[in-house]
Amino acid sequence: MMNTQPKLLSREQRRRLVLGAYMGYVGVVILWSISTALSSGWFFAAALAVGALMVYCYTRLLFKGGFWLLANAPDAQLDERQRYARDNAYRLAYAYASSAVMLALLYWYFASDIQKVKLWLPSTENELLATFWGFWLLLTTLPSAVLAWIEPDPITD
Amino acid sequence: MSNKYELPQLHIAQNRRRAMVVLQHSLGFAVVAMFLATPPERFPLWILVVFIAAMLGQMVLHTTMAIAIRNLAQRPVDQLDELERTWRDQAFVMAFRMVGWALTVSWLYGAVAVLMGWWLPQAEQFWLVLWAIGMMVYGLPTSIIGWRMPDLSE
Repeated sequence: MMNTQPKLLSREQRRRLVLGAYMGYVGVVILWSISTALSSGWFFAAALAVGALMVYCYTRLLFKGGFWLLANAPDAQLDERQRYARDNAYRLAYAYASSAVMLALLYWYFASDIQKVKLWLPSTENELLATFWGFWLLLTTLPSAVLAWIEPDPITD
Repeated sequence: MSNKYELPQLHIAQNRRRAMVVLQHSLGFAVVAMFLATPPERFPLWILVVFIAAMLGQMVLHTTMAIAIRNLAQRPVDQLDELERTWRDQAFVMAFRMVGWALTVSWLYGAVAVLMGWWLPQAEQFWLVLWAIGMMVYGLPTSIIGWRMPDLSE
């Protein structure tokens, strides 16, 4: 059976990494937008630093922690417990992702329909790309992140 | 099988369940396509009648399927046996991947459409798009279970 080595990280560490990875992406987008608007080198440097932190969180969680492999491995490479945990994570990820999509669509409707309140919608090429990559990142990593979030602490001897 | 969760017994053969899945989702796609292709200012009443009938048809097909598969997609996990849980969870894995691809392609089209001025649904067509996506997302795990679950002998 596949050795995913999830025992290297405690649940609390994994949850911090999940939050760091997703919040990191939001931070990069915001800092990058500010640096572009103000032509500021400081904000650009801050965006790079947060980006590096985000990459560290993803790498440590998904690859070193083994959760990417666990969430995407063929059934034949998983034992019964791993397969159950993986499938359960996909079920939860499906519920979260579908709710997020429906809420995003509702937001899009109200933001484009209500003229009095100026709500943000992606309109420039950079904003559309940032939203697309965020969306893509969420869809490709959400089952792994849910798995990392819900797996219990490793049993220590 | 668990007997904590009583549902009406309804046996539908696998090939008929598959036909129901095709019909349910074809109805959705056909009506949405017809609706979007009709300009709102020339919106005939008969399309509205057909649309409502098709929505009801989709809901009836979905509910019938849910009963035929013993509502596996929504039942609490402690009321499922091992085999039922396997069918249910594998359906969610497939559904997540299918919806992920569909949304990625839709988003790519949407982004290009914004930049190039291609067709996008208008505000008055929004609720229809929301309905279509909601129905697809909500009903897909049930449809996948109905499609894949073999005939039960009992």
